[in-house]
Amino acid sequence: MALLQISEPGKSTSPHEHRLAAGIDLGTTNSLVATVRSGTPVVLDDENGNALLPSVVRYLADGQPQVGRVAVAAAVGDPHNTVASAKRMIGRTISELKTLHDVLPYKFDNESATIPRIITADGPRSAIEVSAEILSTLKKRAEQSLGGDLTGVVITVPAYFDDAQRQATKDAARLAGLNVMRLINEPTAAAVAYGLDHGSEGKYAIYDLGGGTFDISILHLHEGVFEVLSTAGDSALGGDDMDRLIAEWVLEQCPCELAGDESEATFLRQLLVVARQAKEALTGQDSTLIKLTMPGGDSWSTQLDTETLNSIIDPIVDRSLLPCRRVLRDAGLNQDDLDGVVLVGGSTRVPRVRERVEEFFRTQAYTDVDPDKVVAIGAAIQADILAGNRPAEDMLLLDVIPLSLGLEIMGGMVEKIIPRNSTIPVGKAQEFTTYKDGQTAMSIHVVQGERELVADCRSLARFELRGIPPMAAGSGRVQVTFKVDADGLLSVSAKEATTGVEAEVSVKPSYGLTDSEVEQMLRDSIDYAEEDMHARLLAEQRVEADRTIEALVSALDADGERFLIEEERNRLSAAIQSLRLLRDGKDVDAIKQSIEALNNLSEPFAAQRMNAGIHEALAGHNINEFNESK
Amino acid sequence: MQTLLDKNFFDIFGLDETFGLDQGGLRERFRDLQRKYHPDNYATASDAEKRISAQYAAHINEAFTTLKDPVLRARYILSQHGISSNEHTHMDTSFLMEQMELREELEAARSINGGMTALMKLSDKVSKDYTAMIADLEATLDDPSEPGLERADQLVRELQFFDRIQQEIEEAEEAYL
Repeated sequence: MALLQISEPGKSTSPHEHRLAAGIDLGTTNSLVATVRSGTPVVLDDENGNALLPSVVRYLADGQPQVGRVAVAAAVGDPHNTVASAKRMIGRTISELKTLHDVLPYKFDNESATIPRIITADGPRSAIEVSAEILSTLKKRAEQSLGGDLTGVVITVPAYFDDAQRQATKDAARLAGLNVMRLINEPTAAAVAYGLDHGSEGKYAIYDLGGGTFDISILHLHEGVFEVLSTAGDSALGGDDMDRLIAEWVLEQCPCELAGDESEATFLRQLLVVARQAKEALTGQDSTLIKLTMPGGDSWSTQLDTETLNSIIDPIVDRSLLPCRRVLRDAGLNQDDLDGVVLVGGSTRVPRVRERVEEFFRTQAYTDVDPDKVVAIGAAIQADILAGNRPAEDMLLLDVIPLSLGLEIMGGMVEKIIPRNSTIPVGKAQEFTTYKDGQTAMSIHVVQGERELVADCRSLARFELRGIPPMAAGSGRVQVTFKVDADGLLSVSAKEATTGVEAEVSVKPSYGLTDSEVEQMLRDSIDYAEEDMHARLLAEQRVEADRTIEALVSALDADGERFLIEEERNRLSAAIQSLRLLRDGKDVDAIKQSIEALNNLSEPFAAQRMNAGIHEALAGHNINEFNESK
Repeated sequence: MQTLLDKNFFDIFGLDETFGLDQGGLRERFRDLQRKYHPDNYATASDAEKRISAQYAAHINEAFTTLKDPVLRARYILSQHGISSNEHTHMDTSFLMEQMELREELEAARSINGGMTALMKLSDKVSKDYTAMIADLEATLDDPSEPGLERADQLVRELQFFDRIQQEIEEAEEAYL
C-alpha cells in the first residue's frame, strides 16, 4: 500500500535499533515462548531442547517452586502441591470452579474469597500466581536465549475468555515482571502465523481445541488485515475433558474400589495420566494397551481401540460444533463461503476431531503448521511489530469481543450495551434516568454474557454513582460509558449530566487485582523477597519516562514546525527537559507526575498530527467531499 | 479544530450520504483508516497519541458498524434529518396483527416435535419480508422528501420488529443445535 509510506506518527523507531520482544502462548497443558530472529519467527527451546513447557507448578515447603517437566514427574506422588491446568481456574470464583465439573484435587483456603487460593506446602497460591511462575520461567528462557531484557511481550488468551479471565492473565504477567504490549486471541494469533506464511487471502475458520479451552473464529484475510468476523467457544472444553472421559471409562472397566482416602488422589492422577497416554497412542495406531497399578498394589490392564475411543470422545466434539454453527451465523456465512478451516491446539491431533470438523465445514483442514506451536509463532510476529522492529502497516489485527457487555436494569434484567462480536477498541454510552424523587445515588452493575437475566450472566463489577443532585423522578440523567481497549479489557464510567453538576467514577472490574495487591504479592513471592521494591518501581518509571521522551522527541522532529508555533515548541522542550532531570533522580512519584504532565501538555499536538493523517489514510481513494479541517 | 470525532459517519469514509452505499468500498476504506489509527500503530508512541488513537479507532469502528447494517444506517440517516424514532411509537394496527401472528407461529414451532423445520420455514419467510422492506427503504431514503422521510421512519420501526423476531427465531433454533 504505497499511500502509507509517508512518515507517520508513532512509527518513529530508528531502523537500527532492534528491541527484544517475544510471544507467549500460556496454555492449559503446555506453554511456549517464541520470538522473531532476523525476520524469521522461531520457538525458543529450553536447555534440553524442549519447546513445550508443561504448565505445571509444584510448590515445596522450602525453596523455589518447580515448574514444567520436574513438576509433572512429581505430580502423581504429590498431587495437592502440584498445580496443573491453572488456566481453567484463572479469573474464576470458587463457585464457578465448582460448576465446571472439574475434579480438582486441591484444597482451597477460603471459600468466600474473590480469588480462590490453593493450599500448598508453600502457603496459599492463586491461579494468577501459578501462571506467573510459568510466565517467569518462559521470561528467563527468552532472556537467556536472546541475551538481554525483553522490551515487551504479547500473550495469547482464548478468544472466548471473558473480561475477568483476561484481567487475571494480565495481572499474572505483571507479577512475573513482564511488560504486556498486547493480549491477543489464540485463534487470531494462529491465523497470523498461517496467513503470513501462506500469503492467504479470503475467509477462514480457525478451530482451536487446546487442553482446556475451545475457540472457533472466522477471519477475513485481506492485504495484511486480519479481520475477525465472529468468534465463539467454550472456555472449559478441551483435551482434559477427553482424558477425564477416558479415565471414567477405564474406571468402569477395572475391578477397583476407591478408598476415599489419600491414596485416591494419587490413583486418580495416575488414571488421568494413562488416559492421556492412551489417547495420544491412538493418534498413530488402532489399538493400545492401558496398564494400571491398583490402589492395593496389583497391576491390571485392558485394551482400548479407536472405535471405542471415538464413541467416548464424541460428546466433546459435539459440544465444540455448536459454537461452530453460531460463528457461521454471526458472520452471516455458511460453510461454502469459507476458503478453508485451520486446526490449532494439541487436541486437534486426535483423528476423530479432524474427521468431524472436516465433515462439518465440508472442506479439508489445514494442519501443516505444528498445532502446538502456531499460536506462539503468531504472537511473536505481533510482538515484533508492536515493539517497532517491523513496520506496522505490514499487518493489522482487528479483533472482537466474544461476549456481550451490559448493565443490570429493573427486574434483574440485562440491558446490552456492547453486543458480542463488536470490533475492538469500542466505546458506547447509554443514558439512564433516575426512578425515584430525590434520588441521589445510582447503583451500577456491569455484567457479561448473552442471557437476558442477570443471574445467568457473569457479574463483572458493581459500583455506585453518588452525588446526584436531588430531582424529580425521571429528570436525573446518568450517562454510563463502556470502553473496551485493544486488549479486550473493559472500563466503565458514569456521570450525571442534567444539572451541570457532574459526578464521575471509573472502575476496573472488581475481580482484578489492585496495584497494592500486586505489590503485596510481589513482596510475598520468593523471587522478589530480596529485591528492593523501590528499585523495581524506579526502574519501571525510568523505562516509561524514556519511552515518553523518545516518542515525543521524534514526533517533534517530524512535525513540530508544521503544527506548533515557537512558543509551544519551547514549552514542550522545557517539559521534556524537566522530565529528563527527574528521571535521573530517585523520586518515583515525581517521575510519574512529570510523565503525566508531559502527556497532557502534548495532547493537542498529538491530536493535530492524528487529524492531519485522515486525508493521507484515504488519499488512495477518490474523495468527493474533501473539506479541509480547520 | 474539527477532528475525526466531529465528522459525519459518511464523511469519515469519504462516501456520499446515500442509503444504497457501496459495501465493498466501505469495507476497504474502513481497513485503510484502521491501518492508520488502530492502537497497534501507536504501541511505541506517547501516551497522548495512544489515548487519541484508541478513541479514534473506536469511533471508526462505530461508524463502520452503523453504516454496514441497513437498519442502523437508515436510523442514522434519519437522525441526520432530525428524526429520532423513539418519540412517537404508535404502530399500524394491521402491522401489529401480522407481528402477533408471526409470534404465534414461533411459539407453535417451539413447542412441536421436530420444530427445527418449522423454525427454518418461519425464518425464511421473515427474511424474505425483510429484504423486500429494505428495497422499499432504499427507494424511499434516496429521494428524501418530507412524506418520504416519514415513510422511511415507519419502515425502520417495522424493521426493528423483524430484527427482534429474527433474533428470537435464532435463539429458538439454538435450542435444537
